Amino acid sequence: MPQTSYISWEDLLRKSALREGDLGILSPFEPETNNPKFDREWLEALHYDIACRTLRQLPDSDLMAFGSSAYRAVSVLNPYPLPRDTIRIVSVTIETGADFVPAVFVPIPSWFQTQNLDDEYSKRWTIMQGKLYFSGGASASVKTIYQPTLEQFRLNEPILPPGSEEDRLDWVHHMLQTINLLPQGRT
Amino acid sequence: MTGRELIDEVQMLLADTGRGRRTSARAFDREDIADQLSICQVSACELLMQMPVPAPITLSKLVTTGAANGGVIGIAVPNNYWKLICGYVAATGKYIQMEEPKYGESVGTLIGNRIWAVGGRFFGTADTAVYYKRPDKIEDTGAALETFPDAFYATIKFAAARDMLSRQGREGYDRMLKFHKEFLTSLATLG
Repeated sequence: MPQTSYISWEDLLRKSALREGDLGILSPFEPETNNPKFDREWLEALHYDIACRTLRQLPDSDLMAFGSSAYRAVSVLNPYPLPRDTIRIVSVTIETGADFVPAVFVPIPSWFQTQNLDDEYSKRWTIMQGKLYFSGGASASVKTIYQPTLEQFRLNEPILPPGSEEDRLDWVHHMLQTINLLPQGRT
Repeated sequence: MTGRELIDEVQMLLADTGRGRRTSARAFDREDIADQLSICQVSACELLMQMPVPAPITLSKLVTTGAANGGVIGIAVPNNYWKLICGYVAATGKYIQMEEPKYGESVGTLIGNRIWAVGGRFFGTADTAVYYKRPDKIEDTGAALETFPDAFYATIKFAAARDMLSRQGREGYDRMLKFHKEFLTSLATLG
C-alpha cells in the first residue's frame, strides 16, 4: 500500500502558481510591492475542492485497489450515526451469529414496506435522519469512502491515485482565470 | 464548515474580498450571499430528490417523521414539513404508500392504504408520516452547518456564485456558465 501521494501537495500548488506566472502566491511574506493576484488560501481552497470532487467521481474499485486513505471500514451498532464526511457507502455486511451477510441498499419507502419481511433471506439497509439502519443483527461492518480534510492532503496522504494531477491543475487554472476575469474582480 | 466560512468562499469565487483594493466596500452584500446560498441549497435538494434513488447520504438529515392520523378529515402538517415520502403504522408495522387520489377515484375506498398531503394537511390512515423537512437557512454566523455533508455546501457555493454573477449583465455570462457547469458536475457526484 502506498504511504504517500505520487505528487506532493506543495508541488501541485507550485505548478499552479507557475502556470499563473505568479510565484508570489506561495510567498510567505506577500509584500505589497509583489501583491499576488491570488492568495495561497484561494489556491489551496480550489485544489481542495477539485481533489474532493475527483475523489467523488472515482469508482470505489479504483480507490480500494490503490489503497486510498479515504477508504474506511468500521464495525458499527444499529443504528449507526453516519459521520458528516461520508461520501459513499461501499458495502454493509451484517453480522448474524458467526456469519457475515452482505446487505443491499433500499430507498426509504422500500425500507418501511419490507420491514416485516423475514430478513433471514434478505438483508437490507437504508439511511434516515443521519443514521444508517440495517435489518436483523445487532452489528455490521460498514465500508465507506469519506472526504479527507485539507490537512490530510497537506500531509501527502495517498488519497487519490496517480493520473488525475493534470486534470486537477487544468481545473484550478480555469477557475483562477474565471475568478480573475469577473467584472467585479481585480484587473 | 460554518455559514461564515461558506460565504467567505463565495466571496472568493466572486473575487469580492477587497484584496488589493483601496476600499473595503464590497460589491456583494454578505446577507445577500447567505440568502442566495439558502435558495441554492433548496434547488439542489429538489434536483437530488428527483433522482431515481434520492441521494440518501446528502438528504438523510432532512428525513424525519410526524403524526399523520388524519383520516378523511386531515391533520395539519408540522411546521417544518416540505415533501412527503411515505406513511407508516407503527403498531402493526404497516407501510402506507404516498399517493394522492386521482380524478375519479373514491377517497373512501383508497384511504385505508394511502397517505397524501393537500392544503397543509395530511390525509389517510398512516399514524406516522415520513417526510423531508425544510433545510435550515444559511446564516452569516460561526455556527457549524450540520444538515448536509461538506461536499454539498462546496457544491452549492458554485451555484450561489453563478447566480450572484448573473446580476452582472452580459459580461458576466461566460463566467456564470463556468460556475453552472461546475455546479452540475459536482452535484452529479454527490451520493
